[in-house]
Amino acid sequence: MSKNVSSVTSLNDTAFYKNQYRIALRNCGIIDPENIDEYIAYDGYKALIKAYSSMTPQEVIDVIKASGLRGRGGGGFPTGTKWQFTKNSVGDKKFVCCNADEGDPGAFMDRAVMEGDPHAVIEAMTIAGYAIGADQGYVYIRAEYPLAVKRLQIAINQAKEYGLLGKNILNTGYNFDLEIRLGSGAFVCGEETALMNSIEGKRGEPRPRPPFPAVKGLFAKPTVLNNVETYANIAQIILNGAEWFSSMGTVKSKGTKVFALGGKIVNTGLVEIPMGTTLRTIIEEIGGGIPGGKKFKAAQTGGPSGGCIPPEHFDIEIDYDNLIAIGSMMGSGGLIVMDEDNCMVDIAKFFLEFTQEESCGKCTPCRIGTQRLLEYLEKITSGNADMQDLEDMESLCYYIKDNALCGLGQTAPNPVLSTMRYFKDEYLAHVRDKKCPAGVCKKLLKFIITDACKGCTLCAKKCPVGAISGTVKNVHTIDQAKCIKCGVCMESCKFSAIIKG
Amino acid sequence: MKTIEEIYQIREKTRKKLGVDAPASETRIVVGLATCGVASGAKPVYDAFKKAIKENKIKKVTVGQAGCIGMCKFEPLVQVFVPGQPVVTYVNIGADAVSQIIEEHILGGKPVAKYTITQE
Repeated sequence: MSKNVSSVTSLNDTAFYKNQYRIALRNCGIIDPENIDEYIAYDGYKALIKAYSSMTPQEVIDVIKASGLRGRGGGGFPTGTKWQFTKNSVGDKKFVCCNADEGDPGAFMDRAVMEGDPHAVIEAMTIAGYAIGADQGYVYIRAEYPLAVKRLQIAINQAKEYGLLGKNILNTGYNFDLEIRLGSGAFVCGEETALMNSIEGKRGEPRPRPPFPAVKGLFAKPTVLNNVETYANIAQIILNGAEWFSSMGTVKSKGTKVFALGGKIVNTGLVEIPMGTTLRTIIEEIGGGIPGGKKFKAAQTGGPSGGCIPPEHFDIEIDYDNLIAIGSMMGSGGLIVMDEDNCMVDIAKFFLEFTQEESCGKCTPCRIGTQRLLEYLEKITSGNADMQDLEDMESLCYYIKDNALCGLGQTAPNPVLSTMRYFKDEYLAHVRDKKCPAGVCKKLLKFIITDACKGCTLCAKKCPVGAISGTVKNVHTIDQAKCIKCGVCMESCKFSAIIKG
Repeated sequence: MKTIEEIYQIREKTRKKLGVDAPASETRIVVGLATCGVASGAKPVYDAFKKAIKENKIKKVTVGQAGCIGMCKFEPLVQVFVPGQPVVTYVNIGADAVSQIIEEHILGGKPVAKYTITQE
């Protein structure tokens, strides 16, 4: 951003947009999502027509393979290979499914696509159906996204009316139909086998793999399951070619990735950047840096399955493999920025509370393991842990990773492991010194009045529990036994005389 | 059911209407109405534009909606496409700003600077 204050008339001229490249979000904010004509105007359904009229199913798969597109839901499995496996599987019926069960806290990429460009998903799923030989698709979407559900349904109805879904599509002889299935917001239902169980009307629990969905998926038939953002890339790849797509990104991660940028950042928002963009560019240039001149401490990617990236990796090029190498993961694209006021142990605890609650309970390592892990973290944040607990907690992390049935459990310890790897000193401060350096963990927190106190009595008046005593013009004191650590005294002090200790 | 030919015809017709390749014949006011926009109060803005256009019997101006454009802190967001002119994005718009935008920009042809982005 330039230093001079200036008025710009279009968002496209801001630093926020200049570093972005939009493929999956190409139509979001541009077209009316409830009007199929506007989607068609921006080359909508052109890729489907191209596939139907000039490509064989194998050619479609070859293009997707050559493009290097990998699953945007987090796992990063090559999409073309997944389609190939499903095409090669023998079955009288096959299915195409879309995972729109966006469950990571703070992630809203898929919602934006479905609310802003629902036809992109429908077109891509129809193309997938053609490629693998399926005539039925399901979009599994959470009921907490009522507007996305509504717009997707409107889009499906319009596509049917135009003959772009249903029997004999555009008079080509091909059939493909699409239905919506609502999820009730269980995090585990974003796991592919649990998602299929849920579509079948069964309890949302994962099943062991293999067999993989490409062989035995929905209703025990070969099934392709991709994430919303993965589908949002398909039509563009078919239209512009594999080379165009693979010219963007890094050696092993092609194209772009959408991130939901949140936390301690000036420009909260939805950004789509080419793979290989550095964390520094995302946070400082696109995100506009950290508000209030605070210091960057970590970036959390991958939601509850991911990890925290410390400042020393600020210049890492973001792609699937680099993130895994530093103990985090791409995940579906949540990117939460943290500053010096965040306690990393508390962050790990936050994510563990989430996964512990969302564990479906089918396998023991996850059901009991996450509970035990959370207890360790509670012990640490309340100052009751010793060094042995830290060691035991770490080995429990590896035990859960190795033994849990599905991705939820296998990745649940990641927030703990990555914070222990990069912020060990904070854990040690909690365990050894019984202190929370960021002043977040209430049980380890102490407010202290220093000699800078002028004896104005304001804090004593503001304290809701009467824990502060002192006379006018004399230094006040806080009764630690009474103090509830609300911080009102510190906020109200005009002389910055109260500190966290 | 449409044929492939008809889909292409719809494409050309709508591109003209939206002014993709050449200036459109109508001005478009587009309000960001995804969950994020609605939550920050974009619906009353949309309704106010609709009402103002109808009540003032303004011709050749349509009010439409779009999804999330990505910049949460500026919601509600309104984009104005006047044929032949660069797009103008209004940010943090409330229903109370609508009459001024209609009067000065849509009818007067001069964008209202105070509702555009100011950056440092």
